[in-house]
Amino acid sequence: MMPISTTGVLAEFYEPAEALAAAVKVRDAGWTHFDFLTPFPVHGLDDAMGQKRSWIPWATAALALGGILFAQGLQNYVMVYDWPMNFGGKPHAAWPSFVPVTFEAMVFWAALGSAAIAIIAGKRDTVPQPPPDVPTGATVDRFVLWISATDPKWQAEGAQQFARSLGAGNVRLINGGADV
Amino acid sequence: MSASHSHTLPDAPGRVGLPGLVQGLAGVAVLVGAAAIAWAFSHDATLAWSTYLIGMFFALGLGVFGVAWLAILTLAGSAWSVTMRRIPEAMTAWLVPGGVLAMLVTFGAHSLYHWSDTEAVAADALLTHKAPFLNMGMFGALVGGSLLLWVVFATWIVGVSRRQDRDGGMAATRTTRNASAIFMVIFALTLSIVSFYFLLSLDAHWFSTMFAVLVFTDVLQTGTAFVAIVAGLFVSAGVLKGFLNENHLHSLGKMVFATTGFWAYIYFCQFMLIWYANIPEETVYFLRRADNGWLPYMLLLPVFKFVVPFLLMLPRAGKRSPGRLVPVAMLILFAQFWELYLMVGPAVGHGGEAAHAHLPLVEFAGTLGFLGLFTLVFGWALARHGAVPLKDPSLAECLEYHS
Repeated sequence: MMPISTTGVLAEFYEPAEALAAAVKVRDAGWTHFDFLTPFPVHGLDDAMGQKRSWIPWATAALALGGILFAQGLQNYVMVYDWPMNFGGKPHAAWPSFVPVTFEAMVFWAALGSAAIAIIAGKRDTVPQPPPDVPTGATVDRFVLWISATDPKWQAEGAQQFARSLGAGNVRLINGGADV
Repeated sequence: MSASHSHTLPDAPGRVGLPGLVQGLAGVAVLVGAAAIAWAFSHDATLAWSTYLIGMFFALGLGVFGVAWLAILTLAGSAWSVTMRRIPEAMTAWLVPGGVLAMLVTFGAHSLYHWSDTEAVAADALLTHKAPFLNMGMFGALVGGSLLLWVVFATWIVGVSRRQDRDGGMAATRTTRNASAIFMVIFALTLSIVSFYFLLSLDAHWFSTMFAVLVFTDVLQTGTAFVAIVAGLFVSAGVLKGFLNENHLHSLGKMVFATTGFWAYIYFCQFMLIWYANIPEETVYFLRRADNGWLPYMLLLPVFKFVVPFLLMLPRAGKRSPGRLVPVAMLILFAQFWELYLMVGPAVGHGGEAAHAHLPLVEFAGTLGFLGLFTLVFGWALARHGAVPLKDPSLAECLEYHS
């Protein structure tokens, strides 16, 4: 499950460029438990928020290697040792015929494994999100900053003032799932 | 606050051409290539025409890539490529001179194509069977018609882009979309025909259902590599500052990377189908290229064209940084020459006169000449128009692009 924080501050921006500028300021002010909810992917927002590069490509590479080893091991075991058969007089360990299966197993392991890891890691490693029953403009036309109360710097008054100082509109404290 | 307020356009770069050094090098390459081909003609007509065919097809592939790439980018709706669109547009300028140079191969048909000899065809049941397709009249009509269609679509698509530079608006984008969709079908058919006549028919007895798609991957891989060289040099020189940066280069690098993988997939497909079926009239292609000293040359092909580029482009920086992408793209261009040499070289000469492997120095010089001439035409076309399509509706998205 996605982690949820029942307390935090929501603040709205009206342009992607404003959200980008605000993200840099939030990051530079030392906040760590904050996120942006946007109607569409904003190019460069992850950089502006100071997010690190994902480690998942390394998992993909390891899974791809695993798929290769699995397919090579299986085919060599079955075709050479366990049940050798003669196909058109070709050698039992005929490497060209092993390539398609090896390739497909590599893709299969890497793709499905990466997707599963991305879903699990995405839910686990994300900043605690606002309660889902709180309406934000992010599904329509607003670029919404969320500062979670789980942030070590958290102070209800301070967070709201900070959000206002960024030029955000509709700054509000969320507490227990409803506007306060 | 509207989008136009939140985004100020960088200073328009105006017209951008190739630096004098590049043009000078291209000029030298043309002289070297012309000298090599002239020398070859005075010694060995077969060598000369092989050299000519390799260089001609190398450059022709880059030319037709320009149109095909514009069509693919349009149909894919790729906003990232807007600021580098002038590069494929300028590549299409080669199609007129390149098409004329391609048709000149008819004069060398007797040195290259067994099937152009009517006596040999009459004595050969299989060639007689193929004669309705493999004859000089059909060669002229089908290849000439294909080249003409490429020129027509290049003129149409690039012309519409010019109109948008002047007038702006969405109409030009819609027209390009329709033209691109039609061209994709025509491109598939005509590139197959052109590859059959120029390259596949060198081994007139042989056939491969993978051949046209293999040439298609060659065209895409080499073409994206050429665009990567030009765009990479632009980025590192800061020519289109504010319009073109590492993010755009990254997406282009991904295309070079993808086509490199695709090439390996298709080349292996062709090899494995032939190896697996093990039918003499199919295996002859690879047996010929394993004999007479060709085997080491063949084994180097996947190294140049797949293994080294793949490993070098695998890290993120290998696709983003011009200093790392441009050398790989140059290697891919060289590998394309190598592949064309291995398509043409072993195929000419028959029986006891079968071609022997040799370091392709003359062939390489000839290809350099064609590449030089291509670069001069490309540079001329590039400098004729504003370097960025400032009125493209996707420009704003392209400028903010992150990868």
